[in-house]
Amino acid sequence: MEVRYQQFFEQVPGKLRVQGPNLVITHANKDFRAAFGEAVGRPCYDVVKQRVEQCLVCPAQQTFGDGVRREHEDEVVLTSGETINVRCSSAPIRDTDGQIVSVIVMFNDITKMRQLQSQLTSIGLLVGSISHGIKGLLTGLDGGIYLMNTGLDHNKPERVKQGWEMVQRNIGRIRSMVLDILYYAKDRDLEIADIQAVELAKEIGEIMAKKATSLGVTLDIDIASDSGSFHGDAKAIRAALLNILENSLEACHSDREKSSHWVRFAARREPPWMRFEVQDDGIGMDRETRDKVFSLFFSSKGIKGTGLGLFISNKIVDKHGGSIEVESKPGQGASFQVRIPLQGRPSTRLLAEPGR
Amino acid sequence: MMQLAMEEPMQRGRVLVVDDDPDVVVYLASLLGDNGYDVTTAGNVRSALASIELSRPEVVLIDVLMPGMSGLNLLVELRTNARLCDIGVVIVTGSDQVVEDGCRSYLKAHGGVRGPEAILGKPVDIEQLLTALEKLVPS
Repeated sequence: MEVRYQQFFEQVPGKLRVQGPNLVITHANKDFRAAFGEAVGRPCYDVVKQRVEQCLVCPAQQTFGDGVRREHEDEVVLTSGETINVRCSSAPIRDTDGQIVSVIVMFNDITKMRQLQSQLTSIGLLVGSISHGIKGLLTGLDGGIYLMNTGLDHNKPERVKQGWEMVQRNIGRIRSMVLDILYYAKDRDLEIADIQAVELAKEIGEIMAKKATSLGVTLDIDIASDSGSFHGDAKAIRAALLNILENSLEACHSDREKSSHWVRFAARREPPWMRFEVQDDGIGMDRETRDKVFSLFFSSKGIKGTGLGLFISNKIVDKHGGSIEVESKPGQGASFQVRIPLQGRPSTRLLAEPGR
Repeated sequence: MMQLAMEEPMQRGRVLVVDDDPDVVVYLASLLGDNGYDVTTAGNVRSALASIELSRPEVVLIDVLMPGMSGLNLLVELRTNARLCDIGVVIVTGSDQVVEDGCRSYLKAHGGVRGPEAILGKPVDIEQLLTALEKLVPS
């Protein structure tokens, strides 16, 4: 009979353990051992949390105290180093006198469920953020159409021109918003190829020149002709840099303290990096904005921002094994330094290079 | 359709438009100017406060989400200042939350000051905006 129960215990589909009042594990089933290694003789906090002392709140300890069955959610660390979310259930085991001698604890892995839940939350936030953004863009389009209509009615060509520019500008914003949303929705793999830095930078410059002119900002492009080539996904890197440049142009457009503005886009080969720099003399950022600048759905641009653009830029650069640094103060413009490793992202590079 | 008075504007009172989006500022300033209002503009709360001290508008149109201080900050500033508390406030916002809640939860957290005279959602309904202003600044 005992052998049968032993088999039942072993085969329970869940990570099952039994522990004594000192929290030392006395039995662990197959699933538990597969996840956390040999655990018998070690306290639970060492085995599932890799901690040296007891957790602040210990449901197992509480069950020892009051004999009540408990359920809660927790994060635990596998021997592989991976953290998973678990549903943790604990129940007392009593001897013939009714004294609690052990506590049995079972973990069920709910990581996938939590991931889905957080994706759903993100989608909800995304929808709110997009509808917010669209309302701002519609107001801009309404404004452009109003200026054009009244300009035509009263024969004021300057007003018509101003309205037309407003319409074009807001259509451009809708376009980049849609691209951002698509990029966010599809987490595609990078298509790594050799990128000619000069060509990429020229192309970006041409796309941005029109927008800069319409916002009354001088765009200065400075590409070293010996920049050569580097490994990366050209489309993705172009999207990342365009988002940063657009952000800088908007920061200039929003700044009415100065009468004229500039944005500077530079590219340099600085082995082992390809370095891009975007500088502007726009409104700048306070510390809070600077700290959150790459967060999903954070936007300081009021109605215009979806909070997607720079989040995506950062994700793309990160995927390439690169980095983005930001320097900025309110009223003093901003500087974005983007570094992409020339040779792509070999996994050993991360370990081999100190200071990364 | 709205009345356009571009040829011979009649003076109907001073309005300050506060929005961080320059396109929205140009739009609302043109629209209100065409309808006889004397319009000044500001791109953030700080310059709005400076402008209010200078030009003492009858009504302030305020966007909510702006870099730095929010438009609701400005509303509270105005309501708690004895010299400025009579200025009419119209909130113009893209935030559903603000429109639905009528700023109530924010105002409650700030000593229960008097709310805005009107709250309009973006994109702005021109008729609604002009009607709200007409009530605040009768011609």
